[in-house]
Amino acid sequence: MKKWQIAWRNLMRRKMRTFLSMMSIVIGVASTFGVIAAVNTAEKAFPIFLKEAIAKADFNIAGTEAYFSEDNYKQMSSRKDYESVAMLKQNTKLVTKEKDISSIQKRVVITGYSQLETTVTGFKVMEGDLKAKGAVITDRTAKVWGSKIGDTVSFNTDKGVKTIKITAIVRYTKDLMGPSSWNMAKYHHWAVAVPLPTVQNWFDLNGKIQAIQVKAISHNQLDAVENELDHFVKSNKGVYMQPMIINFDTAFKDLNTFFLALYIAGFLGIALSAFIIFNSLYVSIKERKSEFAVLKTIGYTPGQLQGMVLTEVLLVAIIGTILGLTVGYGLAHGLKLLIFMVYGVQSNSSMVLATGLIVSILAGLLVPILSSWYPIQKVGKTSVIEVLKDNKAIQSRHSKWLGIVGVLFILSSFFIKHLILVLPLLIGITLVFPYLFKLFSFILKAFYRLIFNFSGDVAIRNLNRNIGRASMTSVILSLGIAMIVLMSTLNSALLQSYEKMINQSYGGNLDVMFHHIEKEDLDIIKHIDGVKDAATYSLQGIVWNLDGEKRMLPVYGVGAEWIDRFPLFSVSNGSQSALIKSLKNDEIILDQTSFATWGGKIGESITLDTIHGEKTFKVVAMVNTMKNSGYGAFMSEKNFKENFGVNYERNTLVIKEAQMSPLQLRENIYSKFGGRIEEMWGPEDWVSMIGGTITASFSMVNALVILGIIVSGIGIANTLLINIMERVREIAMMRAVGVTHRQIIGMILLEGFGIGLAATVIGIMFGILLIYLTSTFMQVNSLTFEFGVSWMIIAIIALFGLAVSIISSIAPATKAAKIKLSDALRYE
Amino acid sequence: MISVSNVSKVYALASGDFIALKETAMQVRKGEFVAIMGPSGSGKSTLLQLLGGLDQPTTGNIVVDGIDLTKLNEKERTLFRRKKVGFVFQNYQLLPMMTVGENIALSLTANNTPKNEINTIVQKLLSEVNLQDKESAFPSQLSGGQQQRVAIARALAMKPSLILADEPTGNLDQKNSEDILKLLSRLNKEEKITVVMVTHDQQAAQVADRIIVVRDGMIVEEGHKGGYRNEKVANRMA
Ligand SMILES: Nc1ncnc2c1ncn2[C@@H]1O[C@H](COP(=O)(O)OP(=O)(O)OP(=O)(O)O)[C@@H](O)[C@H]1O
Ligand SMILES: [Mg+2]
Repeated sequence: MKKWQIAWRNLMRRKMRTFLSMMSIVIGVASTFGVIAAVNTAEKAFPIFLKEAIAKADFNIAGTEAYFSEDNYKQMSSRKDYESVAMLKQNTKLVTKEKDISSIQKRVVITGYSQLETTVTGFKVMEGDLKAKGAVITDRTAKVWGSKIGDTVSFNTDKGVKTIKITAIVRYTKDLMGPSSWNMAKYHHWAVAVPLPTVQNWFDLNGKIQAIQVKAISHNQLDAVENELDHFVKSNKGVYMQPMIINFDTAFKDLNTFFLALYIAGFLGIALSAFIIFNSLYVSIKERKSEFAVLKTIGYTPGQLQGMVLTEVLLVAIIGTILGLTVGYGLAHGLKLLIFMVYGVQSNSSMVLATGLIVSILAGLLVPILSSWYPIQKVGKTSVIEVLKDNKAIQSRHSKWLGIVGVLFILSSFFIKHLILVLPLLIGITLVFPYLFKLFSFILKAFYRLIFNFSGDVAIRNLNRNIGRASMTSVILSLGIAMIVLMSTLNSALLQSYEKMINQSYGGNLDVMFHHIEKEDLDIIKHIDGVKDAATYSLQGIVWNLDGEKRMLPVYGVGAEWIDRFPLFSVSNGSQSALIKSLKNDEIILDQTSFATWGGKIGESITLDTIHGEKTFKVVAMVNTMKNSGYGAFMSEKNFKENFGVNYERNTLVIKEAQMSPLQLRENIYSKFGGRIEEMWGPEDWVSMIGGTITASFSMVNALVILGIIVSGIGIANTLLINIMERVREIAMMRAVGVTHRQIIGMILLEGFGIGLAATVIGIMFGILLIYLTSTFMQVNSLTFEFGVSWMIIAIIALFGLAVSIISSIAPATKAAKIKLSDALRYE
Repeated sequence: MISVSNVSKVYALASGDFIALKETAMQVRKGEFVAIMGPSGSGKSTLLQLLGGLDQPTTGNIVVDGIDLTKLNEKERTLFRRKKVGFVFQNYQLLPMMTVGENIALSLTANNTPKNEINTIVQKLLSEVNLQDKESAFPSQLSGGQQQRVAIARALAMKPSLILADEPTGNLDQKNSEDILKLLSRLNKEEKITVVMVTHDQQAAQVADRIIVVRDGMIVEEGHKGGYRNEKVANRMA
């Protein structure tokens, strides 16, 4: 163990440098572990969550009219190979003592279940009893309402105030999706589950239901159950059956890109730590040259010396990795919570740690060993002078090749049509950076001399003296800046593209979703104060058989007479109405996302389940839409009804009078229809919802990158300290011949600023290149976003990069100014 | 020119205080060439640094050209060094990334002297130290003697009234040493610059008007040019 003891003592001799190396390993390991573990956990948890939340049931039986007879359910409820539950939903208003609450915030959807304790809904009881025939609410709702088991809730229905006791509180589930606060209740209604007869009684709907959900007892029986149900709906008029399908790819469309961005940010962490380790090892080995020489003269072989240094590296690496894993575990947790929150996923699933552990431990041990390779090689060399000479010759020969390889890397990124291009580009930048840095410092020279006189002149010379070290320091900051330029620009470009598309294809200022629309409703809406125009449309999720797989395709029934006024999609040429009018009975229009999912060509056909069985529809056009986050198909109203048999409509599009505020419009419409309204969504809600998700996702990536930028500030400080340490005498001599304190401080600050300026300018240039490259393929909902640069964002990032470089130069600069002349000038 | 009275310098060490100079007093007249000799570790460099305002004495006063150095703040001492003193070091201390011309101009650039003025001064100094053809050479391309001449030229740039040289010939061979000493001597005679030079070399000490011997932080002997004492002192030190 003596070997380790010596290593430990050597490390403790240079506490500051050891600490910096250790920190960089900790950061590298933590960011790798955190990102991988969080992403792996999310990747595992999301599909499970979706399956649990949206489709616990396997099949749904619905009616072609708003309601159908409960007798249908009674006929099937004796079956043994599946469980089923009949449902009836009604909208009503909560009676609450909460103050300053608008009627919109009191909306409640009450769902009556023929059975509350069933695997079909899978309610997980936290308190109370599902069999107690009272109301069931989620823990989230209970918290906002402040309700306990045994409390009563009252509802203001059209048939008077109805009251029921709360008998169970269950874990939050999509079936009882509700807002997380009174404020969020402006956008989403509350949800309460009660026994079916309660709803039927309260709303005078005895013997009526609106859906039956079915779950097979065992997975193997799915096909048999489907056959039975098929048979069942054929022998019962007015009902049809659909399998419950989750479109995972559409539910979390941009998730993979987001995860990739997180990975890249994590990768920056590793690159950063490699750099700092290399730098500080390199210097400490240089520092200890005479020590090594002495050891050699007393008989140490080069191999033994290298072993000694390697032991030190390993020691730092092991401790750093262990600390990094601890920090990383915390980071993973935080990141997981954030990701789940942003995507609205509720899950208590355990963390997936294995891959993250393996990768980050490997990185934590291998990266330090690899980056110490070159410095350790130098330990073996004897003569100081030789080492210096060799070093120079090898470096220039090497970097020429590295430069060429770097250019190749950069060029290769032009041909990669995927965000992964960031990796070769970053590697390429790193390799060509010394050249760019030289070029930059050449330009900087004139500028510095002109503006900063003496300090600027000396600073630029010093930068050029250790150009390798300076450019290594600069490149890390530069990579961070390039990344953040890309990410922030993508963020705002995505937001703008989405906002534009949503407004263009929302079909008006408000979409009101009723339980079902009665004939006279449209006229009533049109006469509400603030309503300029209104139209109703049909929307139904239709089963789409795609390559033997079932998917859910939202299909819109569109009227040619109103579609131009209420555009639900945009077309590249001609009018929407002309397109709709031209559609034959077996023709359909796909939007860009479903078109991309399908992968076919215009003129080919897709297969949909209709009330007449499977039927093919010819795809005659592709249009753009962001309606309901953009995924769907369009048909003419008439064809829609003939094929899908849904005879009632639920949605109304409203165009408001110019001076009417969106919120007032909602209040006006709600006060007219009250409980019959299920949802009201405006384009602004979608913009803020989608915008929130996008911005939060980007913020996480940006936070990681910003962390990297700040740490690269530590890198700058480290490099400057090393420079100063090497030039103590020079600085002292300058002070001796009359260079002032301030001039020395200015000199060091300008050195750090030069590194930062080079990093910022070059980083921004590559950032813009990255934006350009991604704009050639990146799609916002299958729409490529336009290449554009926000100078505002660039300016903020530039200021940030420069601020980091100046701030991290302050400590070294004051240290340089404090050098004791009498000590430094003493001749040893 | 220089008046040192009652000066002590104490270094605080982990092992206790170390007294490098004890109650030292000395005078240097304007235009005088003084050599300081003494064994290693006796406090010669410490004394020189105090004279040049590189450090402050623990007690006592140092007055140079009527300026009491112990009353100056950091900034004033810097300007004092810039304007009044030229330093010459044993290991030359030239900046490797600057040319000979730029090294010579160092304190002028720090003083923001106009470019053309700097140029004339540098040309004059180059011819004074006989390095006209080396203006754009880098220090690494010069011999030790040449480098020391550059250092002397640098020390002269601000027309100082005092040159402080700490073993200026310590790294040089016989021939180069003689050149440097001649140069210092000429500056002393012709330009009337006061020179205080620390040296181990008795021959070097011979060019001085007076030799001061320091031992254990105290001035123990003084001798005058040509006088028996001076030679005896120098011989004994050698
Ligand atoms: N900063 C310091 N801290 C502690 N002790 C110091 C310091 N500077 C000098 N000393 C001590 O003061 C004494 C005098 O040092 P100084 O450099 O003046 O000697 P010197 O006469 O110039 O020697 P040399 O001929 O070797 O150059 C020495 O013993 C030295 O160790
Ligand atoms: Mg000395």
